[in-house]
Amino acid sequence: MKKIKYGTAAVWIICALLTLAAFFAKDFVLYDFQMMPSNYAYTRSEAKPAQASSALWFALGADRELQYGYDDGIDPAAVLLYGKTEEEVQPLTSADMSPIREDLIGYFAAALPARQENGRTVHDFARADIGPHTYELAPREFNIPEIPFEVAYAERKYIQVFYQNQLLTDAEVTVTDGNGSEAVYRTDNHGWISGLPIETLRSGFTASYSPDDQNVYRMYYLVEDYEYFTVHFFKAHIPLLIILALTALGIVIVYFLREWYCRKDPAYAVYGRERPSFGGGNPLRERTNSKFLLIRWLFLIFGFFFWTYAGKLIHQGQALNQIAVPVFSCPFNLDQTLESSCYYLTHLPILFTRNWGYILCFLGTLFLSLIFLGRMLCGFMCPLGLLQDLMDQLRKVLHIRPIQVTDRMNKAIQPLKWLWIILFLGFVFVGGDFCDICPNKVFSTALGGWWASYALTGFLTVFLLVGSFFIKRFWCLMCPMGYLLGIFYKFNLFKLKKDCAACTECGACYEACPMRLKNIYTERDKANVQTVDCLMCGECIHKCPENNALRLTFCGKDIYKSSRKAFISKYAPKTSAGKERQTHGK
Amino acid sequence: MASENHISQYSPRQRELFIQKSTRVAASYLRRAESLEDPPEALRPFFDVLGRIFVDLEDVPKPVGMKTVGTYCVMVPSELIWAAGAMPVRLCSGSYTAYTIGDDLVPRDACPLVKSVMGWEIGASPLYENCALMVIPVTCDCKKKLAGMLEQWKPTVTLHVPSSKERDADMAEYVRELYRLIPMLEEVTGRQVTSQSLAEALNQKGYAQYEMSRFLAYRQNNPPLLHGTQVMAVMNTFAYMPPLEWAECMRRLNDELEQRLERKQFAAKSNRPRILVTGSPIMYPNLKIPLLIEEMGGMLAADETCMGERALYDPLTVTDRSFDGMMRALAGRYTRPCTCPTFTDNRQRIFRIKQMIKDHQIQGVIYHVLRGCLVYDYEYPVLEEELEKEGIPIIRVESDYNEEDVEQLRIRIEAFIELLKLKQFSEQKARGTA
Repeated sequence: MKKIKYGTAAVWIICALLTLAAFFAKDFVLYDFQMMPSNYAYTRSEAKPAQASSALWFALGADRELQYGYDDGIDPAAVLLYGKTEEEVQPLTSADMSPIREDLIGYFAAALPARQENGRTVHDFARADIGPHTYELAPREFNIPEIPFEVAYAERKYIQVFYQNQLLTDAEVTVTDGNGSEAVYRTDNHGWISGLPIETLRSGFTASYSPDDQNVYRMYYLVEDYEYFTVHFFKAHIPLLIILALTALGIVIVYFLREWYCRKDPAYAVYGRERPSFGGGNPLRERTNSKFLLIRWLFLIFGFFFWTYAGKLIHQGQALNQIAVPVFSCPFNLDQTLESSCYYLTHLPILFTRNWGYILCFLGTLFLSLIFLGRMLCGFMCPLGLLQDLMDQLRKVLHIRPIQVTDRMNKAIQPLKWLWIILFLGFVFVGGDFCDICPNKVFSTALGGWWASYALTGFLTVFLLVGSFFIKRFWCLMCPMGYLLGIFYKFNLFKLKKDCAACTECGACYEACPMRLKNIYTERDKANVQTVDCLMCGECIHKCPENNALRLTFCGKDIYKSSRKAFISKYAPKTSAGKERQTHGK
Repeated sequence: MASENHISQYSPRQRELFIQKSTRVAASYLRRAESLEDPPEALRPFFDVLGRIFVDLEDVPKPVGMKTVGTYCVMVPSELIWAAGAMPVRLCSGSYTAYTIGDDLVPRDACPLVKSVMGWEIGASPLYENCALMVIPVTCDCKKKLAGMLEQWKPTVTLHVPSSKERDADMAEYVRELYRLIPMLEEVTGRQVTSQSLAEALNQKGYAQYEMSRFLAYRQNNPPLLHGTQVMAVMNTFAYMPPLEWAECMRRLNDELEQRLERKQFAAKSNRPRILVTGSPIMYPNLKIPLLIEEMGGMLAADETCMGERALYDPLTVTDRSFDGMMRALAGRYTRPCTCPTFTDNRQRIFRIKQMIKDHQIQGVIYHVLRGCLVYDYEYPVLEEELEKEGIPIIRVESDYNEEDVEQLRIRIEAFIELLKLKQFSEQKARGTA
């Protein structure tokens, strides 16, 4: 009794601390990628890239050295070079660039004085954003009078266009991509260009704008891209490794704290004998083969690749990235094939700056997912779900007992869930950014090779990982997106059904349920036992020993049902005969 | 030491008479069960075990040097006792002779089962005498007081069974009870319960239940392959045999039943009314009700009693392979699906019986109440009301541990079977004309 009261109090304290911390999230930096410009040499590029329709360009060489280039007939002495430090924009000379000065943060710009070309005045500029996306992102734009036309990476896959140091709204901008082909885009009323293919962003492009017949402004823009399995790619994993190390430490601390706590209890003193071990040792035949669960694992693994790597591996996959699906995978990784809806759900005001077609597409796919698939996505698609399942498997391999979530504990967690939902949907309206506290920012970005810095989010990731080690699907118990996914469960095509007469109330489903749903085994009247929290993961059906007592249906058709035979066949005397001979031998 | 005192209360002559009488009754019931028409050959080892313990008054067939631990209800996890290196035996008794002795030791209104158990303190059976420890779950008032009395005789442990199952805290309590049991078992055997030994014990029980689930499929066959009385005797033997041996015997029985099914060699015709027995425990040799049902032309198709299917029906579901996971699974398996009326809300028993009626094509239910068994008596009216809605006839029969009420029971059961036959006939007729 006392313990539970402490537990509830602890949850309220965590809620209060989290709310407080959310506002100062940016100050709790777990890992910050530092620019090390000296790693970048500065050399002359020989070949002109196809996308460079301007006379100036930047490029990255084979050893990731920053290269600059200019058309024949250009006087290199006339080129003005600027670089950004954390505080200001500074004009640079070639002395600053070989090697690159250490206080530069990786944003460079070059400008060429206006020239006459084909009867028009041509203003050529070039920009390069190299190095990491540091946590405290300095504004990317230079905004200096010497560079009156500028494109800059706004966020994720959108770019901003500036003209005469103002955002250029509602104007036509021509973009030359990596194949040398041109396309015309219109900026919206915030000066953003959306719908630019991600390959174009990656390869670098030239944006040109003519305010009138006399003038042409052109800017070549290069954002650093990377390849898989390069040093750059592996460096992106460093924060994740730190988080994993902290997680291991956290697990050890929780483990020993619990042992210490239990040793005072005479009934549980026997635990002292049980030590975690690697593999082997426990001959219990508890596993049964289940095609359904195998398919679920395959889906989860597929989902992980789909949302982390697929965009880069399958270029055509990017064609789908207007479609948003509500799973927890960080959209800061631009290689998602489908987009994760979480970015716009947490930044609702930004969503409504997009054009109507985009908003309709976003909301349409979101609601279709909510209504027809529901939390099926959590059980089958969510990359974070896979991660938690893996942590659970790790615990099982080590033979460490879990922390049992009781119904009271589950009740105590509820305030935390509501807090997450409030922060998830509403934090942006009070000037916050949910991405600063989202515990899932790390995996998708780091594993995908994106250099991102992590503030409070990194610490919360440790919390999530330690939690999901001891409690299966720990995050799902309080996931705000999962809750939103569940609210239309009555319309879902997938349903969990129960035959109340066949149930013996053995509670196996309750013990197996990662969401600790009690109604599945206590329900005695209704056939439909699905609730807002059900992930449809099939664990309860897998552990149910009664014929047809539980089944998962799709459009009314059974796709998975419990069976005594499937359950008990693990004890079939294949090796039992061997064991029997052993005992008889004695 | 305490046990010596108890034995000395009785004269050698008294004990001799006791042995004579009790073995005679046990032998006669065993013969009656065996002589039901056409028993399968594979039933022999089961009857042999019962004969050995109750007719020859020998100890259970156990591995050499192994100690036995006596248990009193289905709620004691036998796996835990095996894991500690001891053999569990069921001590709930059905002996009429022991009942007459116990009648003097226990209040008049106590249930005959408790009286019968106390009667064995006369010291005639190695089953009781060789027990190193007795484990008694407190499932009713009689068991509670029994625990107190047995303490004078043998080292005993009481397990506090939660009285309801709704809250997780109740379950956690029972897990703690089981944890408390471990050191006491270890003290008896000198061996430790480890993850390995417990897992091994779970696997062995699992194999027994695998064979049991195969057997249940044959038992549901109509026309029947086996007499219900024999099935009850077989279920009784699980409490006196190592699980692997029992499972092996069961495998042979299953194989034989499979052949019989192919040959269409049935134990009785399908026109016998299929009857379910539920209620107070039916222990060998107190098989009078099952025997009466089958001798009067009924078919005991299923039973919902704690010495029958209930002990073996529910499999263990381990969701976590750690030691604690297995302990939780044990505590869950021995309380949650258990339809014992010791729990305050036992609505699940009605669902269970309804499901059994469906699975076994039951036509009538006999509700057996041992005299003084209050908890089962409480549940009769509820079940009667529920089954009335389903159109399944039900009667309540009360019995005691003696043969004086046999004739009265015979008349009631015969009348009930006649009623079922009439109902069956009129239904067939109605179907024929329609």
